Amino acid sequence: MLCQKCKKREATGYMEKTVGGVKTRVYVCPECFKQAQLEMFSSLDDFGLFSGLAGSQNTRVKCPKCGTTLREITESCFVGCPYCYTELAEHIKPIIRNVQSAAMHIGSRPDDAPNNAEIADLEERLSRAVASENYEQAYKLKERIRQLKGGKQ
Amino acid sequence: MNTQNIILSSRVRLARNLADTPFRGVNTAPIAAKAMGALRTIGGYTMYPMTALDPLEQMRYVERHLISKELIDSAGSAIIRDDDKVCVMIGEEDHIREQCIMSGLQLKDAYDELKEVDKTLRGTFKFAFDDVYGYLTACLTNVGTGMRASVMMFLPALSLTGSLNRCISGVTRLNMAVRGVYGEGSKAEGYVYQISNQKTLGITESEIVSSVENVATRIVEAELRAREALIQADPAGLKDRILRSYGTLCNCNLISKSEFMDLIAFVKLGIYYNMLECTDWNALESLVTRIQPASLCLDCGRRLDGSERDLARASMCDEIHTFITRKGG
Repeated sequence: MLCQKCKKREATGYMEKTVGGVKTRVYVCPECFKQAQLEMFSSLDDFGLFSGLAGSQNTRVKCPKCGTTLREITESCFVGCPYCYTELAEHIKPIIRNVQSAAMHIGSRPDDAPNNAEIADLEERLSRAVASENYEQAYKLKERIRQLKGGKQ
Repeated sequence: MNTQNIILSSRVRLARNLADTPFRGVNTAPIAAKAMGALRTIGGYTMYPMTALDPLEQMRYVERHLISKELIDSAGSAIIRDDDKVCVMIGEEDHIREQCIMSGLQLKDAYDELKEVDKTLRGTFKFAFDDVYGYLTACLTNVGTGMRASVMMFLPALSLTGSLNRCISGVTRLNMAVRGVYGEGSKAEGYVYQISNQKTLGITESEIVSSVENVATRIVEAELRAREALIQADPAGLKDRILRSYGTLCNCNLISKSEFMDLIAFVKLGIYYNMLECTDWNALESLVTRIQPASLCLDCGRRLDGSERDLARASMCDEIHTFITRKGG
């Protein structure tokens, strides 16, 4: 079978690619495979990593408070002001998730108050754990919620 | 050999920003003045606006790891505690960066020191904080706790045995970053590396401290194993290199910083292997700081060019034999 990329050399393997939710196989020769791997690797630098997530609309979207554009944020990973986090929330969320592999703060707080967002998240996980009869997990979650609400162990 | 001579120092930094205030283009002088007023109530602090410092003095603070080069570029201010352990940088990448540096492996203690500083500043400023994202920072890589915990490690044997890259890739998989000693983008000099957490969100401050401590402890074990392998591979050759390094340091007339850093690393290894004896480890560590370019110029009382510095550095090396001597055999 001919390589589907260069259409010159013999294909020896395949790469899987998902387009619009449909998984397709592309049969390639070793040369084109190597090339594709390199392209994939070089796109893993800061710029490629972040810009790929925000899509093409990032040129126009900007923070109404400070004027920082989404493009500037995706390219540098820097935001302009505290409001960027809320004003551009839907765009910034996937970037943060990608950079931090997390979506929510669970550390200390300026007012030493319980973290309502985390408690809500834990309560949701607790009800799921109970529903699936995972009582060990439910117990752990319950303990953590109690700690957070009480502020202390 | 205690871990202190492999883990040279521990540093914890917290990034904070003022609520409702853009991260850049803000006049930070009033913030510095207000922070200084607050910090004065909890200890002896001195404020150093970068604009009031001579470039050599600015660089000396960088060489002592108290401030970053970025703080100089942004013409911010440093508020430094009199014992040089705590430094609050105003107007760097974030409005406020609180940091504490301690010798050896003391991340927990460093964080405990910072808690008081943070509490004091929290009473003075309203920090930008979000229920979901925690402390909001200029860079998305710091959001959440705003915390970076790092250790400076002396890893000659891992480097010389060629196992450092394997070690680095292992550490990177654990969400830690490995850098040269003067922070981001800098080259490792004298086999000194900085290991720090990457993740700042979805993790608590104490988890960050313990994860960096765990990784550091494991690297110490690896370094010790590498030191064993290094001496077993070529005992005579290694001893020769160590003694020659010691000999050169004690008997040179001109020495560049990079040569010094390389030779002093072998001298430190010699102390570890009991080929050399050191009676004052602090004097040794302080020498490493004093031979850095800006510190050297300030010590001589004037700006020196490259070859003048090499001469002055070599003359400073004369003192090495007063606290490091060759052991018999």
